[in-house]
Amino acid sequence: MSHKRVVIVGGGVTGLRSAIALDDFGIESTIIEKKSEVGGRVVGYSKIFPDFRDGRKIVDDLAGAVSSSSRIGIIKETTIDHVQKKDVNYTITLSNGSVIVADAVVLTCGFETFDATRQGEYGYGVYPNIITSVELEDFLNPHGSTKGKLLRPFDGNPAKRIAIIFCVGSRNKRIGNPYCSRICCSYSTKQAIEIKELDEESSVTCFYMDIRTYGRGFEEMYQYAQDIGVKYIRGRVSECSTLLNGDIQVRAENTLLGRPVQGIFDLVSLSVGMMPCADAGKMSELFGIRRGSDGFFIAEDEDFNPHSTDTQGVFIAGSVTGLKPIRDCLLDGASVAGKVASYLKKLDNK
Amino acid sequence: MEVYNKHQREGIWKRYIKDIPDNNYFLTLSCVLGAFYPGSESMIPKIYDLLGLNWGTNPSTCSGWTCCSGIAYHGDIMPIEGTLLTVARLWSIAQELGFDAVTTSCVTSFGIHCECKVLYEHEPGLKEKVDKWLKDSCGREFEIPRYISHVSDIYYRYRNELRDKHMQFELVEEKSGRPLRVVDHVGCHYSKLFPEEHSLGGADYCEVLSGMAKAWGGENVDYPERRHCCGMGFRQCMITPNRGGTMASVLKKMRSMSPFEPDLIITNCPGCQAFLDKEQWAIYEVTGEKYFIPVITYQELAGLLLGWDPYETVGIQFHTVPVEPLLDKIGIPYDKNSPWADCIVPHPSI
Amino acid sequence: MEDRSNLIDESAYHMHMALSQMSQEFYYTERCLQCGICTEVCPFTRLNTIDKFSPREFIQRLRLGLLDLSGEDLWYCTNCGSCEMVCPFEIPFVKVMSSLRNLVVKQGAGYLPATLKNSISSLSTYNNPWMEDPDRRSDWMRGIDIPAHKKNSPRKILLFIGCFPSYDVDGKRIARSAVRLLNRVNINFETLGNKEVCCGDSSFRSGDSDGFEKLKNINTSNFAEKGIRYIYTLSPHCFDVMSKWYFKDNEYHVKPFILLIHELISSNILKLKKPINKRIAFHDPCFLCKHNKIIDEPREILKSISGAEFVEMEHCGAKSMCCGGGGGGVFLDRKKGERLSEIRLDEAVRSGADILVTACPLCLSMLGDSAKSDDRYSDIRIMDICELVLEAV
Repeated sequence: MSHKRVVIVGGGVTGLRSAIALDDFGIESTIIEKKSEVGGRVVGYSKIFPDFRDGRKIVDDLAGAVSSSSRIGIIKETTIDHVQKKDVNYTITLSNGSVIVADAVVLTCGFETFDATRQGEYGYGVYPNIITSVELEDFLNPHGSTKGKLLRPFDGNPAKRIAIIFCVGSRNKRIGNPYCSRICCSYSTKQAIEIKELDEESSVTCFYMDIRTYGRGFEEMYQYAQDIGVKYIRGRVSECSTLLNGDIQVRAENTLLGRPVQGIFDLVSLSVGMMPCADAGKMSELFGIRRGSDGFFIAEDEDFNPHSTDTQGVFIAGSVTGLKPIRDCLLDGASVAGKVASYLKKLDNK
Repeated sequence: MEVYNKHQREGIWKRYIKDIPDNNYFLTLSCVLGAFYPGSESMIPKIYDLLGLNWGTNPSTCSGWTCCSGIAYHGDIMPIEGTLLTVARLWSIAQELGFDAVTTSCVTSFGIHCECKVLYEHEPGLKEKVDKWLKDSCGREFEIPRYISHVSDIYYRYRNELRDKHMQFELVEEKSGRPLRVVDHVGCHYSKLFPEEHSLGGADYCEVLSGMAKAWGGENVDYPERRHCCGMGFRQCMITPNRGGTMASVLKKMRSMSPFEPDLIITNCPGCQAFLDKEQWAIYEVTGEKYFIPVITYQELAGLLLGWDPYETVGIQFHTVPVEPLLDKIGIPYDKNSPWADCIVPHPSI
Repeated sequence: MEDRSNLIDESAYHMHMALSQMSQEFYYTERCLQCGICTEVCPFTRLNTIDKFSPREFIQRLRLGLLDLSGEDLWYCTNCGSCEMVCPFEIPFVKVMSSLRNLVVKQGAGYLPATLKNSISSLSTYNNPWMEDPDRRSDWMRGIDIPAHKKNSPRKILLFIGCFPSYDVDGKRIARSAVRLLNRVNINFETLGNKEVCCGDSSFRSGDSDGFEKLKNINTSNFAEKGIRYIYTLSPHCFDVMSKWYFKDNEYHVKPFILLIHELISSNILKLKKPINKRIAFHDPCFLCKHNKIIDEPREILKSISGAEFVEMEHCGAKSMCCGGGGGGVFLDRKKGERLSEIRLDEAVRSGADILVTACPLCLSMLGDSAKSDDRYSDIRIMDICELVLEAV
């Protein structure tokens, strides 16, 4: 059994950032990560909006800062089995058998993407040339499985006509996700720009409901996408089906013209929305924190205490509280440290 | 790689499983199926008896039997109250005979029965109202039946038994052993009205007919307009100015499926059967495009594969698109000298 | 046989590439966010007709390669510029229309209304849109003498008359009033006489850029021959096209005649002594108020007429409503009940004006013709500002 000051659950960018911020306060922390590498999802994104930085580099910088500090420890390939609260401490039993007693816990478990097979009309999984945005990120990554080339999964030919479908799994009451996933418009536009910059001859068509590129620099990115010839058609896609040669036929209504449109594409990318992380239910039970109707964690007070939960000593940061871009996750990681530091100080003074 | 991943499709349609009863069926008949394709309807009791099921029906005027009123309701000449009352009487007759499972031979009836059942579930006080109306009008009482199924559900349920114990032919081309390419066209009121509760396989990958085709040796064809309505709809086909819409819908489907070279189309709805069959000839007359893909109902298909006489029992002579070429493909023998065989106008495409 | 008009395919891409290579304006249409503010301010949408014209829809179809130039709607645009004034992304819609019309006129890529076709070909053969005899262009001057030489005049100007004031029945009133006004002041002015040809605005706006170039060359060489550097035009259309498209350097100064009147009145050279005891409303010509921001000067002129009560119509100043004459509209026949000029006249009636004054020969023609065809407008007198000022001196 070892006594740690702070345990951070989840080694994505938020977790790494909060560990570094805590280190600035002189507070030691331990990151528990279920995979074999830290970095979460960001490590797989070769370009991040709006300024197109390299995700791998961000993670490397964070991981470098973490490893150069003696106060931050990382335990990989481990999950939490059991939690017991004793006074103000948390006795955490890990899946590798070891037990940690922590004064404070920061949950930065991240999010899941929507399972696109739940929208059967899009044919994800049934027709090979229909992929999700996560897979598209991999295709666009120069270190990814296709070395940065856009190829049709069906026959390996280059993909010239690409469709991006927005709002898959979001803003949809029928499948139980009425909320907006907030960043999909932005990341889809970023992907559209990447595709066009990779190959000027390609044609990219985005089927959208609204364009919610709300943040600083996002709207300008959208304007840039339009300037380089990305087509935007307002209308939610009703179905995707296949032709004999693997081409995908997409149908929607162009609501701005009031008529149906149909397009034939080599590759169709479904911009999937975000959902609460797979362990959200488990964490909620283990630590006794509430979840909202959308499944994400609820803070003690969304306006004044956004990092604290109903349970004293348990804090939340990053995508677990809702959907946000990477920049905001890093911000969360930095700001939760202040909250934890003041909490620990109060503990010490008792 | 396949253009259409069948394995994944299994994963999707299996989310929509419905409870199909094994026995004790009350059979309701269709208004038009018996007139257009009499073999189809007359074979249902034969199959039920073949499987040794306990079933019953009472289509005589003294019982108060009527049509389900689907035509009137969907043709806007009867309000929903009238339909509720008519269906309540049918259910009362079923319960009089001691059955709690209603099996409808027509997809429109199926839709009507399901709609009534769902209305009772969602509207408080409706059952009491209809109880009173039924009592006042014909002195009957009724309960909401436990199961509402379509006869194709029953065929689906017993497809393996039929194949293993009774069938003599398979959906395979006799000469080459190639599985026949089957287009399954499921009636809209079966799959789309209540996809989660009453359709086997949901709306997108409805399984009831394709399951039968697969079990009996055939191969499914997925083409872009697979989910497209046949265009029948009472307000389209019954009203002369709208009839063009019906033909246009069939034409759209035929154009979309012909590159996939299907061998036959299976339907489970009398309306779909009638129009997909007959409009192919009208399309040829109007546009000159030749499709002539045989359209048969699942009952007729079962009857043919069971080895029943194509003319005396199955009644293929009632079809507009000749079915004899299909029989030749499968190797089902039929009397080529029969007077029915002469009624077929020889067509240059055959 | 299959209707492919709702298909998004490569042809859209190629069409767009082809159009972009033709002119840069198409590149700007990529920015369109489809907000619809252009359609709302477009005067055409105020008409209660079955044919609808939506600039927003035009751009959407253009970007998706679904453009169909076989319809009449390409010719509805009067080039008034209301859309360009409000567009948040400064999309030059008028130039887009112009480039598309070029496609139709030069390459036969669509439908060209017959009357416009006649005007365009007349312009290239007769240098005016009505196949009138070029040698009778200065016939309007009969009966008016221009003093040969004003010895002490401070400057010399060239008065560019234009086709409408030269040939049109109502337009001639403008030319004669203008010259009579100038005769009262000590300004030495000349005209090009029968050597004058159309400024080319009608060719330019209707998509015949080659015809425009031809006319421009004739005019510029005539100007060079005359050697007069200050040019005043009676029509804002001539002014607009000359000031923006004729001269590359600042050698020539082109201005609309109304600015000269304004200068003469405000510097008290032209004195308005006679009162006109009427209610007067001003119809801002699009090519003055919208394209060139000349809004205050006409009003100052009218307000300096004694006894006149100045009233504003609902749509005034930069929000003025087009009379329907620009962009070739003056040569198109529109049915009664489908004319922008009628809506404008209704506004004039509602404002209570006795006289509706304008400063453009095309506006005068459009409004005047509509007024004559309906009794509703029999109480309003339609005048050009030159005529009115002449009555006041």
